[in-house]
Amino acid sequence: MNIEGLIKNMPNEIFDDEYVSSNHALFELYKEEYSLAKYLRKKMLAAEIVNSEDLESNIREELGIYDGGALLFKQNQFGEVTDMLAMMLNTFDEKNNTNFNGYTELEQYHTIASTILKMLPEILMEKMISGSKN
Amino acid sequence: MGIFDFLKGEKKGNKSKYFDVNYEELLSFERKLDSLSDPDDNLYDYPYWYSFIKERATSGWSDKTNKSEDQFVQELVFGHSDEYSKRFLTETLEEKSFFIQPRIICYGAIHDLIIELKNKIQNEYPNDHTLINRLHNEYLHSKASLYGAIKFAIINNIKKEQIKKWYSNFNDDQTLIQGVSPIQEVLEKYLIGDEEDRMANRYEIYELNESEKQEIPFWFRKGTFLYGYFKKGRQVTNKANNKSIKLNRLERSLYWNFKCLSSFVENLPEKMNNHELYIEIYETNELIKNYFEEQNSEAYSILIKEL
Repeated sequence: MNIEGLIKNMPNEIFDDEYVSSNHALFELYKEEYSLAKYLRKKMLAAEIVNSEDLESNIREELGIYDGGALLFKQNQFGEVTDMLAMMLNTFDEKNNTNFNGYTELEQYHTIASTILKMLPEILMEKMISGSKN
Repeated sequence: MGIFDFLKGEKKGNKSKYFDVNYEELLSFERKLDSLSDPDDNLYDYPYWYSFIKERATSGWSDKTNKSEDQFVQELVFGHSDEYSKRFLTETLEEKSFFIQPRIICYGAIHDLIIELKNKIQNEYPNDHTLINRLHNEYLHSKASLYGAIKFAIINNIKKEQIKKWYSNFNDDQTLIQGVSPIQEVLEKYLIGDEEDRMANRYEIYELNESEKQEIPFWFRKGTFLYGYFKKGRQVTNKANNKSIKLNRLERSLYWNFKCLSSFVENLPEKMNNHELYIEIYETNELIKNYFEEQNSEAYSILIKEL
């Protein structure tokens, strides 16, 4: 068994301005939804999420606390988070500006937000079905 | 160092891997680490575990300024156990036991070997202060690493009889095992947060029961800069407007952390805005404000908006 792992506990990155301004804009507009993508990314860096099954079960667990109405709202918000991240990443790509510290993080947030968005209809459906049985 | 000391350690071909001198006692210590290791299981690689002790003893973690050695060790015990507990928040008892067993066994054996080595070096080379100091530091860190692992085991209901099987010299000293949170000293020194909360018993997330844990929003679970949770609510007064409101346990925990984090946000220099650390503190604080605004607007108005 290999006991050496890439465990990241301390927040010690110094990001470039491109990340800081993108992150700030996303956080101010979509505090909870954007923070969830960041939270899941941190769990990945800490090796607490190591594959797509882990990621999906974490998403299910975190979104499982909301009722149908709240989930519909979340679906809209995650759609906007995903679009905004895609737009930002495309702009950086077009300007050939992808080497700044934080670009990979934004890419990862986009992947996570997209996964959440993809799963939301199913989670919403499950919630509605289980609600109607009660 | 005596004039014939070279005869004791400088054997041809015997070079120390970890020390600048080649005393026989040091070489014997190194051979012992190698011989204890299980070549088929790198969980029991003693030189690997010793490398952590060595590194901790020579890094900034060794700053004992203005602290008794007991306090220094107790703070490290708390820190090691806290790190393990946060990392293993949701794992099963079996997984936790599998994780902590090699640490107790290896740190325990290394701690005993360092005590023995330190005594020998003090007797044989009483003037080699550099080496004696280093070994003393390693002794403190091996003790802290061992009892940090033991604290984690005890928190997770691993029986003391089992711990004794892993480390037969286990000293069941409650003060040592309990450890001390290093942050408390800072909070008291700078009078951060309300006194009643500052001096009250606070809990780490892994010390909460399942229903208490379930209440906590995801963004308030794992931050590096969170200063504990309460198990009971209380009446809180904003001294600036002399208005009071009763907060439940979660709201009290959020408000306490908001006050602590606000102190840091206010005092961090602007040049730190690009640091992940600053971003994490700022965002957690904003999420707390947002929580009160949405979930308890009266508390938001009394305690936060009019701050």
